[in-house]
Amino acid sequence: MGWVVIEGLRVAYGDTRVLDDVTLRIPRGSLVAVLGPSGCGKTTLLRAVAGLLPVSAGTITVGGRQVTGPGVQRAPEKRGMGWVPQDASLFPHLSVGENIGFGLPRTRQTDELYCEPGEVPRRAAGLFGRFTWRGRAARAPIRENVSVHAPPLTPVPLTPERSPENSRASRITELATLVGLAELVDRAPAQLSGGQAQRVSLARALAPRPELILLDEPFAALDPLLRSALRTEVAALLRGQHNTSLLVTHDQEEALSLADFVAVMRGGEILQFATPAEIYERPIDPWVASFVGDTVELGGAWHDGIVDCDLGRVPADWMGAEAAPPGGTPVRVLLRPEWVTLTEGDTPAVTTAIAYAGHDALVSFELPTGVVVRARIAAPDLPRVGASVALRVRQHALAYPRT
Amino acid sequence: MTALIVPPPTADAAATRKAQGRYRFGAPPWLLVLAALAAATAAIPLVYLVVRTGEAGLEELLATLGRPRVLSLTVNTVVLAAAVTLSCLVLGTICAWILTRIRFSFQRTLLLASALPLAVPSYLAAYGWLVWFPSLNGFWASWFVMTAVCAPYVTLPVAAALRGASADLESVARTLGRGPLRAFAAATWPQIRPAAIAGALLVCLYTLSDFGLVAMLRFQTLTWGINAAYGASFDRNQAALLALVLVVLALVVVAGERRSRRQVDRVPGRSTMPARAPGRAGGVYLTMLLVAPLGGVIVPVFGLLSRLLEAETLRAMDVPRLIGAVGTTLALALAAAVVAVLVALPIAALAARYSGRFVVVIEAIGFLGHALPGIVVGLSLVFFALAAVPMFYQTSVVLVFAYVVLFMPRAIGSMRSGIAAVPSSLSDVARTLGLSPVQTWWRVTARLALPGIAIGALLVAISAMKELPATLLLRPTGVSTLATELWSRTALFEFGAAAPYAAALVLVAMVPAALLSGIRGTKKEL
Repeated sequence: MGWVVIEGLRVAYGDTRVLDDVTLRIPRGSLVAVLGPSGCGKTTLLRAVAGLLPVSAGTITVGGRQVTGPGVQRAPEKRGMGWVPQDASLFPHLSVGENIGFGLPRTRQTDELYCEPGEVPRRAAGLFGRFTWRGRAARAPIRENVSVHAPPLTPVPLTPERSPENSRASRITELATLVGLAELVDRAPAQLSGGQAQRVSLARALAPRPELILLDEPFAALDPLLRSALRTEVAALLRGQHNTSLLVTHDQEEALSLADFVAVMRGGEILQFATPAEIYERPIDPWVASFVGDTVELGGAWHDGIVDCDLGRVPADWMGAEAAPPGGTPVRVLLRPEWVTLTEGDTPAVTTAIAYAGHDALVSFELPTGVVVRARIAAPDLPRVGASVALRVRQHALAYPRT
Repeated sequence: MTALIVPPPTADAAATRKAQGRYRFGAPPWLLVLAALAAATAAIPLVYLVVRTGEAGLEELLATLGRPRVLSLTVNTVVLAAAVTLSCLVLGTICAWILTRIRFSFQRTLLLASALPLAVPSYLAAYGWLVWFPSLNGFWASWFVMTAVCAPYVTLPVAAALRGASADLESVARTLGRGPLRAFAAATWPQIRPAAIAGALLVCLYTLSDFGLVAMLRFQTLTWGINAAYGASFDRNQAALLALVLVVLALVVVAGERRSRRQVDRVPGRSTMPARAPGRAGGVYLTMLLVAPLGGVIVPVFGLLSRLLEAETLRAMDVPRLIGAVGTTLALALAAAVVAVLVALPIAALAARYSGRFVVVIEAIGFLGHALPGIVVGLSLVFFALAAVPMFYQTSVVLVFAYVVLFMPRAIGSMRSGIAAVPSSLSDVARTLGLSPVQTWWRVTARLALPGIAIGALLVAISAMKELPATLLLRPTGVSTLATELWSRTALFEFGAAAPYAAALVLVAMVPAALLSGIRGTKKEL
């Protein structure tokens, strides 16, 4: 059961298909990362979900409400989705606070009173409220699903300490505090650092309590140190707010470490949708395997649960779409470098090169057959170059059909 | 279907960079319709001119075209344009080279002085020279003053190109045994050639379109011939035909300019040639630099001042009439600026955000006024007003419309870059935060593009104040601007009586120019 359901989505620029039959189900409250190389259509997918570009086919449903479908193309401002673009895109003519409050409606009559979904403003629409459409709308009894940003299911208690007299200003303060920038609300966006700007951008998207937060490579423009710190913080914040989020990234580490589910995209199609561990340990094809991490690739022959390869006879799982082939069929064998360990016995090898990385190292070993495999070895266990060692595979190897 | 739909990453990266701030999807139909309407208004003069000339019939057309009078006017125009273009190309390139390669202690002043002739309308420069030498006339006088006035159109872009050009190639050429001149010709000239050619063609266009200067210096070109044919004999067919010949010449030049502007091939490398001290040739360099400012600004303005401050001039000054002319000039310029911005807005918004063949066509038509000489627009709108909207003939409405057609390209240019500078991601964010497209436009895009829009309006206002030929043809009886007053006094050799109007024109045109530099300054600070 998905909270956001994308089905058969197609987008084309002229004759070029950018998204081809994309189907994705995002459970409520989860963080889903769309991972793919640049130009694979992942940003297009995000823009299509936000309603910022027209789709040629397919449906998008959020919480049972169709926002895109045959004959339905809900305007972006009526979708109740938050958008965090890559470059923060703060409004340069507004202060940080005004940026955060940009999506919070102002009612002209009451002084900046912002109403939570379902609340009735006490002095709504003032003296002539009866005669203006805005006033009449405010006084009308609340119907279910009438507000764009109101969750149609039971409302999630977001911040219990929220007072009934919650004004727009206090919502701004609340969010500024949430992203740790409470003292900067009066600053101009130009005075912020990249990381601060990105936090404001997130606060701005969160302010109207959207049903889905869309993040378009929000950390790509930051320097690496700040990036890893901020993304952990943002992921925690999104989870803490019970938000459903869709994150687009080309950074596999980011996708694997942050997301509850990862969708790997290539050439406008989703190749695999699974948990980060499954994507890494059981990639659906060799391309996905090498895209999300380092691989060791060998040739071998399949013998019912065992592959016969340069590393000897290694237990393996059949990863092809069809049923496992008969014994003796040549297959592609894939390993992760950290699955290869140094032990006694097993396959002898000679250390040929060490790429040292501090905490561990990628070590190249030449096997008796002349093939070179790389293993990730923790720093204390590093052999010397030229040393003879023995290798073992700790985990089931992955066997893919030859193409 | 799994085949790589997407081009390889390198090509893709280049494409996204090129398309930054633009949507890859079609523009909303209402914007297209509005922009197409705006572009259609800009096309009225040219279309009507062609229709009007066509009505005369092919035989008469060919007969008129063969007349020695028409031929001599055309030859005069082409020869003057070619001569001025060539001299500006040479002078401008040399000045640009001096400005970027020689280190004077008063560099900024020299740069400012080189740009100064742009502020003076050509007929004002001619007037200033006539004050000193009333007998000045003919080809050589026109050639000299026009060159002085137009040289900055080459100097400034070439200086900018030289500053951006990589000096590595020239250094390499020197180490391979070329002398300084040959190294410059082999290595640097190809890098600045597009800028130089584009600037020179702009000079050519302005010389073709110029009316005030050649008329004051009594050199008979097509613009002069159009005015004479229209004014003296009311030989409307001949005037229309001459206008058509002129338009064809101008369009050829504009097409050439567009083409030359496109072929910019960047040479990698960031190092620039170190500027060196002037040395012994300093005097020669300074003289070269000062030719254009002296001929285009300093001599004319001193001539103007000498006449203005004469006791006789001051005594005879008709103050209410002067104030009236100032008021009329300002009011017309203001109206032109407002209308031009409104008409240019849809075109600028469309061109800034969307691409596509249709968009390119609309923008090109919007820029048509750039190629049309003022006298042609004036003449065509006289015909058009008489035939289509007689109730507007001899009213300011038609005159303002002429200004709009003529100067809309300036508004489109600066508004377009202003709007394009607002990242489209800001509009996307505003939309997802609940703003409708119209609200987004007002609260985000227009708000941030305001400096660009204001600059566009000011540019139109400045140009409209200085415009002469279309104003002469279209002004309602009894209405006179500073430019027409200056013109009619000078035509009668009343240089003293013309002086106050000339001075007022310089002052009034300086106000928006000062505002303009203010806006640009603040923009830089932001």
